Amino acid sequence: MTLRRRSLLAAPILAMPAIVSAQERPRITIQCYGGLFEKTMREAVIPDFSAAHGIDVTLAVEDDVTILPKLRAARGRAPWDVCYCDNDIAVLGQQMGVWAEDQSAQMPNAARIYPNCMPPATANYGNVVFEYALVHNTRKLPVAASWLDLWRDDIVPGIPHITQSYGLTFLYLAALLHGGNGRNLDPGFAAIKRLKKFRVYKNVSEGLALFQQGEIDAALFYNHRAQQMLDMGLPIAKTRPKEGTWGQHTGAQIPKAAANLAAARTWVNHSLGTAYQGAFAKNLYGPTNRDVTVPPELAARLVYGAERVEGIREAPWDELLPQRDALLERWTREIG
Amino acid sequence: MFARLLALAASGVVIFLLLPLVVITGASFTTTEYVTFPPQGFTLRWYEALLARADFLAALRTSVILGVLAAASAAAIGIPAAIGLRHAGLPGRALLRGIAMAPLTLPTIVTAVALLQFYYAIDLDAPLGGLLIGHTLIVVPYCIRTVGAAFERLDPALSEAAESLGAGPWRIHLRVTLPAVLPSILAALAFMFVTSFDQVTLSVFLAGPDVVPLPVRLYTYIEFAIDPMLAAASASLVVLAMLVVVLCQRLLRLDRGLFAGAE
Repeated sequence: MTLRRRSLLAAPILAMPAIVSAQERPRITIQCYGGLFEKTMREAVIPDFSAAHGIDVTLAVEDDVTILPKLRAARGRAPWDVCYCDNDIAVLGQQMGVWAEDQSAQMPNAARIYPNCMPPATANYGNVVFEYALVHNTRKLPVAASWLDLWRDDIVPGIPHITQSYGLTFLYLAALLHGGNGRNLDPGFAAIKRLKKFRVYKNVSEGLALFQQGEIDAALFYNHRAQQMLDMGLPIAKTRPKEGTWGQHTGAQIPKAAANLAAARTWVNHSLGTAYQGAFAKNLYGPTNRDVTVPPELAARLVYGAERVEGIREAPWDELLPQRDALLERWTREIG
Repeated sequence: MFARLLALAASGVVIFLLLPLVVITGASFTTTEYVTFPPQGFTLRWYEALLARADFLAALRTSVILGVLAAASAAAIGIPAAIGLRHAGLPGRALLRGIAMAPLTLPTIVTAVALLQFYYAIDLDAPLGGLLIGHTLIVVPYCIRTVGAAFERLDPALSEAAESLGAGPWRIHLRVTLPAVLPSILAALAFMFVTSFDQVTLSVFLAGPDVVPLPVRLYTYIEFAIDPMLAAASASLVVLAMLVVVLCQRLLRLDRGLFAGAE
């Protein structure tokens, strides 16, 4: 046997421990949002997590709108070990029984999370908090003080579609401002229909494009996205109106049928920690862990600190979600 | 006068169809961080960024493989089906044709959810296989329709002449009928590939974390960001599609097959 042949035979044998080792490493599949969220995950979170915990991660980029039908169809074999969703989707999932039991008792980092971002206050393990600001083009609306400024005749407001959490929140807000409430959204529909001109945006990127192209002058919009537009040099301002602001707790959930519950729990615990949330805070995602520290200039640009985070109000999902199908049908018929 | 008006209307339609392509291609060269038209400045950096995205390139590869396999699978089912449906003596021919066209009448989202539930029920854990079955289901009616129409307009004298010269049924099909309808088969293949390549609704439900077709990758990207890289991706796809169409037209005379299918 020549040396070359021996080498060829030996190579696979020598490589075996590495192959076995790679095979033995646990792997989890995580569904998450695209765009900057995905970028942060891939570049600033997953490499550190995998190195620290010896768990490989497969990222499945997908909006949270389709996760519930998939989980319901999946039954005993969930396509992901961890899902990312807004709290309203998490509440719906809870009602459908697709999530695992509350695991926060086994997550050491849970103790450092603001209580309004964790179960039982929310249906997901909140690792990001969003605030919806009144965002306006300063050339068209130099100063805004109230949500009612969206109803001024000399501007074109952007109206978020109710398939999104912020769309449903806006409809609720419109109702609230015009004498309605979570159970009576008629005044909200009437108020939106009363607008002389408006543009409906169906997702964040469409809203961003409409602001960038000057097709909308003001809208209820994510605070951090407004900050991004400001950083781009667009003539944008974000205001916290006198009536207050609403927001959204976004976070992770573990499907009941997750293939690797222990690794999923490790991930979620990591997502509640300071390293993870510090990485996201750099991209203007508000941290929910009270121990995350950021430089003052960054703190001023995101939702940060006990007062801001604990002050975030969410729409009353228990009242709104049962009406969702009827609201969507009405929205399609009356608003478009 | 009428001819000039017609030419004017035709030009208007062409401009209407091309304008979005001009806008999206122009926007892909802007130096701004956001999509704007007319572009501000000129840069190729969005194309560089696109080429550096391994996930987009992997998604493109998945879409091409899926499109080719779906078109081939659908042709393997659709061509024999079209031949079978051609026989006048086949009982329940109209019903069978209706069943063959059924995937076109169902909303794609219903097909997607039904397939997803079916895959979980039979424990099928193969995203590419699942996508392939779904895409084949969606595109096979196009094959039956296009190739079937070509068979309908085929002169029966051709088969009769071959038969009178002693050719058996298989030989007639392989040497006479199929070559005569070949342009339609090629047109159907091209159309099925494009339909599969462009499919979003079905793929959103059936794609797995490691198997993501390009339209789904673009869709998930566009949900959260619209930047000029997306315009660069769209412009690249437009150019690619145009090249495919021009090549097909030059090499395969695609219009003959499509014309036959339209009849």
